Amino acid sequence: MRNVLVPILAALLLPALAATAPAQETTRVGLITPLTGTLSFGGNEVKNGVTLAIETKKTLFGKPIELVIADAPDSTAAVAEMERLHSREDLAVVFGGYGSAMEEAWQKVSEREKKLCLGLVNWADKLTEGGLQYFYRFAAPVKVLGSELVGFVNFAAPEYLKKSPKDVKIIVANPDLTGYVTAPILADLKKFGYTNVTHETYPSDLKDFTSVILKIRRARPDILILSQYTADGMAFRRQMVAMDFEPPILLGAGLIYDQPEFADLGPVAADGALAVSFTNPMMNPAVAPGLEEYKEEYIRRFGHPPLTHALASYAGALAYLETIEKAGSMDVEKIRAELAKVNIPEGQTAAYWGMQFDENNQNVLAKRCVVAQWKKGEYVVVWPEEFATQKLELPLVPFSKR
Amino acid sequence: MEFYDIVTCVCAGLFMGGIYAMLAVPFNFQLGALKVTNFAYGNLLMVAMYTVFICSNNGIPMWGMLAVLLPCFFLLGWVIRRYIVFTDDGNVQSLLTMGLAILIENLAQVVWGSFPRSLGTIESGVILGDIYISMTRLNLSLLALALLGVGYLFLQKSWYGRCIRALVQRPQMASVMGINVPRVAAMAFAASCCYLALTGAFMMQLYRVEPHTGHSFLTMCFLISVMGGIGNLVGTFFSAFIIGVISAFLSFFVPGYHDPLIFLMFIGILLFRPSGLFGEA
Repeated sequence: MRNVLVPILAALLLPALAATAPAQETTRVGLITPLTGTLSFGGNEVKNGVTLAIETKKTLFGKPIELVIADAPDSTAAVAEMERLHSREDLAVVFGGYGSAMEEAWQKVSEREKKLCLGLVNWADKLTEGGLQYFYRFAAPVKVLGSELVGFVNFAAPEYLKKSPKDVKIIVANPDLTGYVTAPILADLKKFGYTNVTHETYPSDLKDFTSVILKIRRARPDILILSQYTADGMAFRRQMVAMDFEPPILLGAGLIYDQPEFADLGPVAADGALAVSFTNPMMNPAVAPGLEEYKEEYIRRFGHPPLTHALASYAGALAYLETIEKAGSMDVEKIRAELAKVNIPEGQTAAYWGMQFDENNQNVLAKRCVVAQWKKGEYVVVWPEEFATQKLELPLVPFSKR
Repeated sequence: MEFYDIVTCVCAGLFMGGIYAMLAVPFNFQLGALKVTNFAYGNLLMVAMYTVFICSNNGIPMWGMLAVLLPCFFLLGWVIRRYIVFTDDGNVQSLLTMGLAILIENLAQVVWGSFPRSLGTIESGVILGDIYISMTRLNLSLLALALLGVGYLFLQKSWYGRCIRALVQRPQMASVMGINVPRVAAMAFAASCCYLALTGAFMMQLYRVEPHTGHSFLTMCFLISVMGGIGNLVGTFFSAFIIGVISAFLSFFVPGYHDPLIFLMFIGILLFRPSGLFGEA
């Protein structure tokens, strides 16, 4: 009997003993981003990008990396969650992604706690204009998008419209929430001599764009620049098609134009639309090492192609992790010292951008944007030439003639 | 603004008004007639839109979609009224439906993710000179009017409709007269949820859906209901068209001030005519 009992007892007890063994040590980093609420779509893209970056890096200081995630759907939650991450979870480093209003809230918590908030993809200019010491931003501020967009206009207007800046009629339209995106665009257009520029805004939750499109259509712009979120952008484009309104050049500076959802409109509706992005997973892989592998893995894991925010988050998180590795520990001041001297040249990351921080902790090597165009349901990069995979096709043909 | 702009805006406003009426009348029926403060209304609309998307994505034809949507939403409405929001205390109802709204939104986030979904349908329109008429919105608006008309006739002419009206007017007397008040109330609420499901099908032709889609529609429901008068279904019906046309003109003239002006109007109605434009003073 004893011969049977002992092995049975051992078989029952051993798993319990194993469970009480100390868990493997990990290096913990945080991520705060809106995973629910109105910005959840972008926040989840950031989370996906960071998750893949951690799986690519695998270890930090020889230990597996543990990602502690916090949801910040609004500014109040942003403050509470960042406090939890820095205090209760005792995290020295938290990646921050998406939602400039929330970023503005949580970066102040990091500053107060003297712990690091490593920003990934927030583009409001003011985030790195407040002299903060513990907030860094990998992505470009929106004024870079503005100047690159105007750079494209400078190229396209004489080339395809055969018009000088003072003769080009431009309308810039956006919902009230993206005014901070179009403000630098308008300023740069003025600086480069575009005097015939009109600005139209509308409420973000407008349900019927007939009147807005009617007004814009009546004005017959040469270039229509739109900065739209997904909710208004898709409905706006549908109504543009229904009203047979397509300007010679349509340039999107917002989420919707580089989302796979845009292709659901079908080639007649989607084709031709241009979009300016900070970085783009569809750019020439020759300029961004690791881009193809990243795309394949992203599609395998998450079932859809990565978007701009996921790519920038992936590249930024990876670059940050490699810099932290060089610091040798999670000591905040050592990491800051390492970030102050980091110099990853352009063309060395999957997002093309390099990494080098100025005195405001803004990455000055995040300065190139790309323009992509929808062609036959595919989203392809067309400008600048070194990033392009296909040729730019302008001017656009009216919908009724497609 | 030219004459054809005025015509286009009026048409756009009226068509949108028909769709708003389909959205707001059942809401006001729940709120004013059945005395249920349903903060989950917008989120239930979101679920209906997702259901339509899933059916469409799986190649289910329209009749099949309705065969799925209507019974499911009837049952959902029944369960909500009988077993979740079973109290007549308005404060408790508000809390319960707010909790339900949060639960539905977060469940939708877990099940469907935050990736926006749309049918990718393109609206059809007619351009007559410089006047634009959206045929898609016209058709949806006419369909909405027909469905609301059927509902109105049901309430006015049918025996069950009389029971519902009796319950709304004098619930205690209705009970004395032999009407099973809890069951009729639940059936009426469930029927209004069927209308909500149909509205979801309409909305999916025009917009895309993600877990927080319902919020702005709920706001519009409150606005139109207050304007029409809480409990005044006919007033709500006409208010929907008024809001639609005002919104169209504001979008043309002062799009940047559209929301502030709409809500200023809302506040003005609450201050000077709290029973609504069509309610009794």
